[in-house]
Amino acid sequence: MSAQMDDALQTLIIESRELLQNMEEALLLLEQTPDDAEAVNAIFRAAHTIKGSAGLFSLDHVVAFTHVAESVLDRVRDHRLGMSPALGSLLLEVCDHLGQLIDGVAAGQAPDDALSGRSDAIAARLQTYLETPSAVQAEPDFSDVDWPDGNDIAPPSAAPVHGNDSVTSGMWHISLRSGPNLLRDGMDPLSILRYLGTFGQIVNLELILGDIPPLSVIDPESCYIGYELSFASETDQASIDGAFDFIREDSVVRLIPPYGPIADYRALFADMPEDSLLLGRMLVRCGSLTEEELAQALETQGRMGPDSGGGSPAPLLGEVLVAQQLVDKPLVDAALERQQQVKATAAGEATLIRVDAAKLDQLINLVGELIIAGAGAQLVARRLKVPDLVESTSVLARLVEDVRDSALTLRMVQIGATFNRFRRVVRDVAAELGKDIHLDIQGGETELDKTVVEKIGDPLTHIVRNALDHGIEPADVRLARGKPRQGRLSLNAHHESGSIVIEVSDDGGGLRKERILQKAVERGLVSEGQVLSDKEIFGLIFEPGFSTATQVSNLSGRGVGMDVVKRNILALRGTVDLDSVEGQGTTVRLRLPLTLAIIDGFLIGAGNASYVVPLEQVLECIELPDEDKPEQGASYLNLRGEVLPFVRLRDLFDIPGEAPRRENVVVVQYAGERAGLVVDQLFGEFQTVIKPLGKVFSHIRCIGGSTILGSGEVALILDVPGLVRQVTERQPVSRHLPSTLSPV
Amino acid sequence: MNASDQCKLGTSRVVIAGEMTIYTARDWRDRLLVAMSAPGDVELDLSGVSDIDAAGIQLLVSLRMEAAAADRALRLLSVSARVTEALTFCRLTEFFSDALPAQA
Repeated sequence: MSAQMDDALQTLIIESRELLQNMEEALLLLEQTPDDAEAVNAIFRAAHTIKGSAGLFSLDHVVAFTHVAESVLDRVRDHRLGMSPALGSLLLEVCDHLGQLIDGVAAGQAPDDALSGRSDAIAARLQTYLETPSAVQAEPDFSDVDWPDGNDIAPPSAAPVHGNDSVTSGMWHISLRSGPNLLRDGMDPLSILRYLGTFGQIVNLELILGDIPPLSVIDPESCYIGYELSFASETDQASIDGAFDFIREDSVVRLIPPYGPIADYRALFADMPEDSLLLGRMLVRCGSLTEEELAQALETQGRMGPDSGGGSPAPLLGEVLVAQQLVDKPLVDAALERQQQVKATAAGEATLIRVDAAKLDQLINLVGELIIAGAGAQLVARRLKVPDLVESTSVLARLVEDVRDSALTLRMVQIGATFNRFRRVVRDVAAELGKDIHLDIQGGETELDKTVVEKIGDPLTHIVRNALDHGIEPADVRLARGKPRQGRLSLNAHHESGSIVIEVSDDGGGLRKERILQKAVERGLVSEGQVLSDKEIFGLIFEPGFSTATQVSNLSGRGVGMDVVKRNILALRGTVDLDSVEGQGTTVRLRLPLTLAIIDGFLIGAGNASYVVPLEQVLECIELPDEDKPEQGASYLNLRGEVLPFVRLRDLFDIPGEAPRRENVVVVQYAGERAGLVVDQLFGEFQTVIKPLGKVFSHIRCIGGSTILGSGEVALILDVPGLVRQVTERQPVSRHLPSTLSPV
Repeated sequence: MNASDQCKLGTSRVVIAGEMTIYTARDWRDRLLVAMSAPGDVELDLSGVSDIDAAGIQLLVSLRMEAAAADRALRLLSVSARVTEALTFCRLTEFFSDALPAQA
């Protein structure tokens, strides 16, 4: 395969996976609202597009399999087949299986026997939905001939049947009344019709000559002829419409799809100036209508009132309008999906660009370098004290900041897509466990860095599965406990001081503290008699090898899980904690940084070294009061009546030398806990490009990374969560102020 | 444009050659009107028509109808391939069947 084909195939694989995801979401949506026509259309479109693209690459096994599914979906779409839970599940299987087929294509493997066997098995089950009798059309269906080769899987009679009210002609019917100036504008209706002939066959053409005036009064440059034609084509409505694009403005073009509803023809008669009977005869000659259908159309037309419109004015107009509506809807329905598909792709291409993630990363890197270089320039400018230079560098700095922000938003994606994947997980797991669980999603529009999104999928899955398996009780237990039968799991995301908080809550049994404690004692994690706070007890379940499940299911309970979750989250510079009320439910809370690359920092100094604290986590800065200067170690001070534990950076990092006379306290906050950092100097805001520390330093606590200052010096980025934990854990935090402390 | 009109006794003959399109329709209409103003049958020689569009077609149809209304015969003496093709495409050969030469 050539490189170009290879690229195209990659696109097919990516697109197919996206389409399958859409399909899955729509299927799950259909379970909630079985009548959602848009969802059915979305599923159909997905299958149709996959089939089409796979056909381009001669992926016959994919095409054959998808075709059966598409046929079933076509029936659902035409309301010849109702959605049922069984069909929904089957279609989800189709979705999964297609995913496997596409994976196979991606791996460059021909489908093995097991896979093809499964294809056949699912196809066979799909076939049962196709065997219900349907109106059989004698004529070929030109609306679905994009499946030209005789496939061994018999396509169902795919003619869309609009009840009894459809015509039997398998041809498009086109009515054209050219505007008078068409010829003068340089357009020849005949050449447009000839153009139609390039992608279909004009089966019959009837010219309406009645309007041509006698030679003596004819304006030879005006158009007088009307056209009625039946047209056999395999293309969609959009391309037929396209042929008339240039003349649409002042001409009347009516398109009735194959097997179109008689109502369309009725409306045509009503709208066209010609005598209905005369026009009707033409349509019969065209082959678009049979005599019988004409009679049917004219009969109802007659009932609508005299076609001149002179008689009873008000009701007639109304009826005509209704008829108009009737026209538009089925017309649109018939070719809508194809048209929309074309338009959706076109629109999608117009507003979205696929960009290689590596290119984005490179851009972010460059922006990072730009920030460092900009800071350097600013430093020089300040030192030189040239006012113009200082001013221009500060303008530059502001622009760089904007560039940074927009570059970072490029990487931001909404978490909704990740959340939506859990609909399927919840559905399947709930079915497997025989539980009835409703998934509630909130804050899906919350954005976070793509790399973070990619990495939280697995930990989230662990947590969700745990909640489903151990959290939410079986229905009978729930009822016995006076809870609603249906369990509820909610996924919630929101922003909070520079991080994103993701909560997974269930309304299940909650964690049983004494069981956890008992188990922890058994495993020697805690000594007997040790008094632990609730938080500490809950924290135990994140220890390696800890599981309280009495029963090991194939979902969870093997004790590998929560510790892995914690490790993964910590690796993302995030934290995980847990709240639980026994009998009422559990909430697992993940806090993650919004981005991994660049932050707004606050530059501080201790000794000769500089440090950066993420600005979002800085609450305020105060001067350290003289009376609160204890000799060594961490202590606490009185911040407007509250205890604020603090730590000296000099002590923490063992910086030699005397502290200056005036020391400052930076109050930082993380996850609701506050702590003070005592530093020598405050330098102010500083854009910080995070450079990760090497593996050698991975065991160092309290440091999250490093950055390069404008001067070329290295500054360490403080890991506030780690610091806060260290400071607050040293002493039991009590919110009440000891009497020995005097207010600041 | 290149045409010569002949008026035999009781018969007007118009030779149309070159384009019979929107660009020349007005001239041909005038020529045809002249022919119609004289009494008797009308004969058209279309063997030299190189192109014909909707304007040309409707001119022919108009002439055909006017002749029929006045109970005068219209004969298309010889027809270029291009005209035959256009009339066939428009399904108008039947409409002109009594005017077209027998072999067409």
